[in-house]
Amino acid sequence: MNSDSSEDILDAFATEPNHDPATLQRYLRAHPELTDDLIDLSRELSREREVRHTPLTPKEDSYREAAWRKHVLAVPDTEDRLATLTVERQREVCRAIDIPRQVLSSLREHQVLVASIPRAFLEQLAAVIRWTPDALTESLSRPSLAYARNYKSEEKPIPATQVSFEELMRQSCATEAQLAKWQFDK
Amino acid sequence: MVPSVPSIRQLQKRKDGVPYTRRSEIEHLLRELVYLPANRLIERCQIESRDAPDYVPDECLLYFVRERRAETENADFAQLYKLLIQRLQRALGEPDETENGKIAQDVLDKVTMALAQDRQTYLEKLDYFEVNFADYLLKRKFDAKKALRRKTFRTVELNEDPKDDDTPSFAERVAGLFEPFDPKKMELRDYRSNLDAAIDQLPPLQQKILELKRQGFQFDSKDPQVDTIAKLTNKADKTVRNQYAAGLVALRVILEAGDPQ
Repeated sequence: MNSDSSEDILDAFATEPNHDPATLQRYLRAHPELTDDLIDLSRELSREREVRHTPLTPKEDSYREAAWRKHVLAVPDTEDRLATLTVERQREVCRAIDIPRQVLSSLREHQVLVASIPRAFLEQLAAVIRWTPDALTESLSRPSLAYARNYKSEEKPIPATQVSFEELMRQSCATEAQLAKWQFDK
Repeated sequence: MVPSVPSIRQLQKRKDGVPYTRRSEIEHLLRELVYLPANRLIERCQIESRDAPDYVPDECLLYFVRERRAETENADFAQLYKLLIQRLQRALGEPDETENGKIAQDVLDKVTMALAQDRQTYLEKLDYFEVNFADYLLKRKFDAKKALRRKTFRTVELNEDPKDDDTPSFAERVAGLFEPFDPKKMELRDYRSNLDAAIDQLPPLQQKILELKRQGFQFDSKDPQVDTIAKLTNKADKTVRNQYAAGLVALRVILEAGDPQ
């Protein structure tokens, strides 16, 4: 399986730990269509690293200040980032933190006992969906969405049962490797 | 809630389906730095000398800027961000109207924009900087240079590959004349910088041949399994040797003339 684009391949070459003849040869053999670019990039990466130690100019200082202003203006939104994930993004999130889809779905439905979720997992999930662990915890602590949906229907609402994170992982047929990744509180 | 030590964010960018990882020394240092109070972390990030024991590598500084992505304006966040941009400015050189100056500005603009976008949606491209900051910055410069040259057609106008000097003994005559990658000379920082700038002035084919020679490739081989310079540049052995010789002559002239700029 190799669906990496030309840019991905050149980026990968650039970030190799070293760019010795063996590394260059490996990439040239694997990607003959990128021979020209790989040779040019190899030369670029061999350049002497120049780092200025002289003071930066006032113009550069102003640039830095302006960049900071723009950076703080790019305020992360405050919407519920777990609830608003698109289907495609949900797949990416599951892939990124290596959990079955059902686990994410149950988390989105607030059907998991928050106290049972390993902190490390919350931090990883928050990082992937670009949220803070505290905001994520707060969101997960809200009432079950499945219960809320039932309440809107004609039928008598049935409170959804919340399960522990470990139980959910096991119910979702998580592999032993996936289970071992998170330390459960026995 | 299960208590745990602060975890270090995993990278999301993947290669052949496998997530990239930071260098082990960066991971170890992050596990140490993550416990520092903000003022101490900032103090350490202010250290410029890479040889200082408390120096914080660029990969770690970027990690902490990205980790504060959800924060609003505050003094610690501002300091860390500005220290990161300052390091980029020092590494890229001063933006001006020269080709290098334009490249510096372009890369700086794109990286600051990427950092801002990363606050909204995780930008996997930034993971490359956490894997190998200095080399990925060179890759971004490489991309910017290619784009700039495409725009100005400079490669075609100024660096057109010259015709071969078909004098049969041309390559032989200049062989041994000059060894640009002599290990002794390459120990000298000034020589390396001057050589880089001198090679920049050569036509693209000569630059490629010199790079392959530097990497230890042979001009030609009877063994079809061997990757040779002739094969990789798709040129005849004689052409490769002649272009290499022509490149050596030009390099020697440029270097002897003093400042190649």
